[in-house]
Formats: sequence, structure tokens, C-alpha cells
Amino acid sequence: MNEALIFDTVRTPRGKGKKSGSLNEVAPVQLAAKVLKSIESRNNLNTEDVDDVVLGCVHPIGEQGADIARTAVLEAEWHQTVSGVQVDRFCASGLEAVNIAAAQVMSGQASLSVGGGVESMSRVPLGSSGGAWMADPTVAYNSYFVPQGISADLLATKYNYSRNDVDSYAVSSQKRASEAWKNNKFKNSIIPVKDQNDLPILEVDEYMRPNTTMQSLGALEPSFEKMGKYGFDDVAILKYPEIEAIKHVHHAGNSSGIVDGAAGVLIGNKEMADKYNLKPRAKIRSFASIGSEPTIMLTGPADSAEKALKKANMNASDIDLFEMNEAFAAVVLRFMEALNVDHSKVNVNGGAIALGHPLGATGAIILGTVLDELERRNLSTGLITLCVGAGMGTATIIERV
Amino acid sequence: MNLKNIKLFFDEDNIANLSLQSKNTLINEVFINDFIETIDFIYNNKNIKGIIISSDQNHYNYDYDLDFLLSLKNSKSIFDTITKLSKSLRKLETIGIPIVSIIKGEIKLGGLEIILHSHYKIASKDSNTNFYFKNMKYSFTPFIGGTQRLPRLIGINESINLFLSDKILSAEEALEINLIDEIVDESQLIDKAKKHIIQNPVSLQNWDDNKFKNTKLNPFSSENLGYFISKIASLHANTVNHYPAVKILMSSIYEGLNTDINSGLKIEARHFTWLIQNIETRSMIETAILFNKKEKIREDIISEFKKSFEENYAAEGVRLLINGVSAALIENAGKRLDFKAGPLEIADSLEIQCVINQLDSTDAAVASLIRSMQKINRNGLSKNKGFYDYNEGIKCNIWPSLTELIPESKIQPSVEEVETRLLYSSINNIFFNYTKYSAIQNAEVCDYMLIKEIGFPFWTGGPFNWVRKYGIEYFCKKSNEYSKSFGSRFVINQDIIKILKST
Repeated sequence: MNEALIFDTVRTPRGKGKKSGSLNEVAPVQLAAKVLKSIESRNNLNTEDVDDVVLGCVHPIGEQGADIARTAVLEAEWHQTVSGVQVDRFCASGLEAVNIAAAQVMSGQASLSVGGGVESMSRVPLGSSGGAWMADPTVAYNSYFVPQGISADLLATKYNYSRNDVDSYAVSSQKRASEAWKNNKFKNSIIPVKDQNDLPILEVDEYMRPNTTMQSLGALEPSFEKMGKYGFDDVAILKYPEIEAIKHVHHAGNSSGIVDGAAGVLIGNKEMADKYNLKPRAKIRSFASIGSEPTIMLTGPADSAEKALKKANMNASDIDLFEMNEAFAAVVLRFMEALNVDHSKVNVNGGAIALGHPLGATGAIILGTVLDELERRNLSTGLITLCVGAGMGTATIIERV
Repeated sequence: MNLKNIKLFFDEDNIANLSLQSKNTLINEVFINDFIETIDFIYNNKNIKGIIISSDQNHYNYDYDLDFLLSLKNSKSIFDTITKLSKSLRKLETIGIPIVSIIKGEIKLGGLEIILHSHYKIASKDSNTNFYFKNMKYSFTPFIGGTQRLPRLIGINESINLFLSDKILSAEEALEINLIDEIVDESQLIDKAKKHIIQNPVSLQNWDDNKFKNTKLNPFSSENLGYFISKIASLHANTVNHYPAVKILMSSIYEGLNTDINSGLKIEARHFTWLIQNIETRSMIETAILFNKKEKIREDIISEFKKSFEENYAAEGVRLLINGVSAALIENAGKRLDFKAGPLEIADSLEIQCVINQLDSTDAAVASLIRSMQKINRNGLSKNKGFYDYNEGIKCNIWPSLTELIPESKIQPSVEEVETRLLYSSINNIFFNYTKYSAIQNAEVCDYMLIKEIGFPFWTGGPFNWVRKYGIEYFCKKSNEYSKSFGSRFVINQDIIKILKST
């Protein structure tokens, strides 16, 4: 098997995912094309050598529809021989895209591929692609469908995470993210978004609230209590009859931010490294996706991490740094507890609670974040994982070379 | 033609007047065959300018013939029978000439399904003109196109709410939601119908008109999706995995409204074919037949049964607690069975002393728990403290310190196991009382009383019906096991076995 080498990681800043957000004026295909152009110029690529561009996107409809990966290839004016494919594994789509690109290289079917993702949540809102999972009565009944926020609160209830626990976690995420920006820790991967006249549109992650405190979070109403009363709490309890009542602890301040963004990871084999004189930064050690119980939905990261660790013949203690997507604070708390991992190793530069979670792109973004940090600390191994809708998890292990 | 249910004549304007005869108001095989014959006759008469559908006494109280529905046995015969009628009515609906319904009196669901085929619906301005809906949670879904036409006419959300209600709509209310087109004085009904036909020589339904667009008809439209998704959840929670008609109704509408009416009708028929063979549906239809007979049972018997039934249910819950089962699991098991509340909540509402009435010599631990609670004034709802905490009579949560009195076992049983024990205990309590109070004539009346008067879960069809449907031998075997583990209250009287085996 060939080694899948990581040459470069690139991402846009994350813009607030609403009409007033800075990236709202930028079409998602432009965000994706900017990432590709940047990968091309930073690595002096002749794009004819790129075999495939794999992009995650969770709502591939409207302006994100019709295979946005190939559309972005065309818009970036890459060579016409570069194919593009859009993938959807919900919140892990960006990491899944990296894993697919890596698999192409590992299997020898590609020499150079890009994995990444894009999501403009301000222009193509959450939930726009519908789906049988929640709307088809047969499927929704049989799978005990509840929206993800209810699952997060169910998880917190089942594993006894109090409002205080999840809020404390959120405060630390904000602190870490703000420290990271102060110390310019994202500079290796981040590319400013500029317009056609080279005028800057957004250069920093704008979702952050560095002044967040326990007091400020304490003032926020739980986001999913009302939704729970529509019947979703009762459906969750039908599935988890040992629970008396769902405790609603999550709110906008301890859940991932809705943002716009795009990211890409350039992956290739040794020949390509030699041809372009690229220094491999890391290799993909292993990756795995799993399915888990869909109503609680968000327990998959631990299972997928364990599966990936097993494939790499590693233990959790062999991992130097973790990036675990902060979909909801309780998900990270559960992940750390299940794998017995200390918070000092997890999301050291903050996470999606502070920085935002552009659904299809996040997996590729946080892979870049952990690799940059491994290099800075001169550490070796990183594990990236995300919880995934409908009860899944995806994990990837990288090792610096 | 020799029709029993329909009168057909042609007037001077070549308008076919199709009058349903109210003597036989049930939709069954005879009715279906009459209808098909009539429609074929009209269809082959090319000179007809229009059709007026009425009822001889201006009533559309056509209801479904429950005995006929139960007599339909295998999938093919059910599907064929209902699609035969549905196709025939579809033929009428697409004939091209106008079809007008004139409506007066009591309109039940079966009548409504027929009316929905007409292109124009005129109701009499008469306080007696009312549309009667009956919550189909306890029965079955429409099968002559009702699940496809009503949403297409008045909207997805609006039709779900009506189908799952016991609403009575006046003509004015029906007009407001677009269910009918016009209200006129009774004396003008025929004239108005004729006028409509003459003025609209070509007629088709909105759902057959390619130019007609309505976002209310798309389950995925932004105005429908959120409502639809939360409606599924609230119905799923409300039906606790029983009452299959509700899920089938939602599925028929969702799947059917994502396509055209022709495919929608097939979808509806396939779902109905499954539903009518479902064991719970059949049990509930059998109960409905008993309801129609309106059995009279003595009040004192009802209250004796009710008292014993509730006390036993509460006591079984406390016994489970003594066995180390978590209070939440016990309560949720009771709710999943569709008892009106969990057993501990019932104990609180009756005062926890009630549990003592049902104990035997093996229940010392149960008695001791009840006394400990009484000592600290946790007597139940009246004290705002019992197994639950209450705030001025409103339930808050299970008493958090209950686990200090009775620790929970590390390993908990499955919720299905807890449900089975509660159900078996309840059924055996009823069987015991049935032999004790000989005042009830037969097992069917007992089933009827339990559901109608005592709150036994409707989906079971009653304790006798349930045991017969799910297997007498299995019930005896399981009860025998329970009696060895948990006490003599699970021992089945031999007379009961005889009754169960006689049909």
C-alpha cells in the first residue's frame, strides 16, 4: 500500500452563517474555488497532475448542488482533466473527503488528490435538503428520529453532564480560540477571502466571542426545550425508557456556531513529492467510519476513534493531540470520558463552539488545525474525529513524517 | 341494472342523477358492486352532460361495514377489492364532464370519501349539515382515496388534524377550509348543481390540472416540513408504538403527496391492505363493533373492577421497585403500554395506602416501603409528596431520594420485560375479578367495559381478546413462570382458560 502524504492544508476564515455574516456575499462555489487556487499557487502545481477533487457538502442543493466539487474545479480554472466529486457524510463530510482522497492515493489509483469541503450556511441554510430520515413517517418512526439538539441533551442527561459542565467547557473553548488567534496559530493554513479586485472580505474567524463567561452563558435559554415539548423528548424517552425526563442544557453558547467556510487538503504519493519538491508534512495512518445508535446520535466519535486506532495498532495514549468537533459541548465531554483522554490534549486551540462549524468543511479544517499544532509543538500523532447525523462517527489518524 | 344501493335517472338536460340510497348505509361488497356498475353505465353513455351525486334523504352517513372489512382475509383479496372501487371512482372523477355533489345532513367519513370525487360540492344552508370526523387512531385509515384527496383539497397539515380528531364541521366551517365550494338554501341545491354543470361543460380536479400549483401540497415545502416533522414526533410519542393507523395515515399522505394522485391511490391501498390485517387494528375494530351495540353494565361492577385494577397496577409497580427496577423505567413501561399513567403515579393519585389492599404475605418489603413513606408524610398526591414531588397538584419529578429507600439494581431489565409484567399482572387481576363477579355476561362485554370504562389500553382489544390473539398457551406458560417467581396473583383460574378457549 502506498503512503498517503499530506502536503498542504488550506482553509478560509469562518464567517458568521447569517445574512449579516462577512462571507454571505460570497457564493459557496467561490469559497471552494479560492481554496483550490490557493492550493495550486502555494504548491506550484500543474493541475493536470491532480487526479480528483473530493469535497464534502451537506446540503448539495441550489447553488451547492450539481456536484459543487467539479463546478469548483472549473471555476478555479484547473485543468479540465481534473474530476470532482461531492460527498455527504453529514458533519464529517470534510474529513470523509480527505479519507477518500487518501484512499485513492493509498490504493495507487491516484497520485495527487484534494480532499476538503465547503458549506455556506448563510446562503444554503441548515436542513435545506430535507430527507427521508426525518420527514418520512415510516423512517422517522422506525429510527426514533429526533433533531440533533435533542440528541445532545439526551446525551448530557444520560451521562450526567450538568449545565455547569457544558458551559464550563464552552468557556474554555472560547478562551483557547481567542488565545490561538492572539498567537497567530492558524496562520499556516488560513487564506484571507478577497474579492475580484483583491479587496479583503474576511481575514479572521468572526464568530468568536472571547469575552464569554459562565455568567454570560448562564443567561442563555436552552435552545431545544421548546422543540422537545413538540414530542421529540417523548420519542427520545421511548427509545431510552430508563430516562425520566430530558434535561435541556445546550444553547447557542455551548453548541457549534453556524458559519460559512471552505477547506482543502492536498494529498499525494512520494513521486508527486519528488516531482514538485514538496515536503510531506504528515501521512495518513488510518481512518474509519462507524454507525452507532441513531437517536442519541452523537456517541460515534469514540467508536470511530477506537476503530481507527485499532487499524493503526495504536492506543488512545499514543495520540499526542486530538481534534474532536465541538458540535455540542456534551459530545466532547463524552468523547474524553469514553476514551479517557485529558482535556489538555483535546481541541487545544478551541473548537467549533468558538470558531464555528461549516458543516461540509469542518473535518478538513480541523485536520489542518491539528497538523499545524503538532508541528508547532514538535509532536507526532494527531486524531481527528467528528460526530455525525443519524448516528455515525468518522475518525482519521495522522502522523508527522 | 338491479341496484340495491343506488338510484340512477337522467333528466331532460341529459344530466345523470345518481342518488345513494340511505337504507343501506354501509360500504361493503354490495355497495361496491352497485357503484361500479353505475359508473360503468354512465361512462359508456356519451350524451351525458354532467352528473349530480346526492343521497335520497340527502344524508351521506355512509360508514364502513366493519364486519365486511374484517371478513377480508388475504392481502390480494383486500387490495383487489378496494382498488376495484377506488379505480371505478377515479374513472368517474376523470370522465371530463362536471360532477357535482349536493350535500345535506350528516356526512360521515365513508360519505366524505365519495363526495371528494366530485368537482364541485354544494351544501345546504341547514344547521343539520355537518361533517363528522372520527379520530382514526382507534380504527383505520380511509381507503377510497380519502388520504390522497382531502390533503390535496385542504392542505396536508389541515387534513392530518381533521383525520386525527373528533371534530364536527358545519357547512360554513367546511366552506372556510375549502372542503366544499358553495352553500345555498336547500330548495336551490338542484338548480345550482345544474347551473354549475351547464356553465362548466368541461371539468377536472385541481390535482389533475397541470397548471394548478399549491405549496400546501408539498411535504417538503418550507411551510410544511417543520410542522410535518414535529407532527410525526408528537404522534409517535402519543401512540407509543401502538395504534398503527396513525403512522399509516402519515405515511400514505407523505408518500402519496410526493407524487401524483394515481400513484397516491396505489400507495394508500397498499398501506390499507397492510393495516387492515394488523392484529391491533382488528382488535380495535372488534371493540368498535361492541361499542356500536352499546352494552349496559352495572355501575357498581364497573367501579369494583376499576378500583381493583388500579390498585393492582399500582402495587405491581411498587413490587417492581422493590425488585430493584428503576422508577423511571417502571413509569415509562406503564406509559408505553398506554395506561393512562405509570403505576407509581397512579399509586400517588389514589394515595399510596391503596397498594396495601393488594398485598399478600410475600409482600412484606412492599408494605414496609409504603409505611416508611407514610411516616415521612409522603402519602401521595393529596400531600403533594409521594413517589413523585408535586407542586400544588402538578407533577414535577420522581422523588430523588426514593433510591435511598430502595436502591436500584446495577443491571436493569429491558423495558419490554417490565411492560410484560405490568400487563400480565393487570390481565390476571381482571380475570380474577371476572370469575369473582358473575354479573358480567361474557368475556366480550368484559373487554368492552375495560376499554370504555376503566382505561385498559384500546390497542389490546381488551384482556380476553388480547390473550386470544397473542396465544393462550404462551400466556399460560408465561403466567405460570411469573407465579413461581412473583406470587400467586399470576395463577390462572381453570375456568378462565375454558372461557379463553371457547370462541
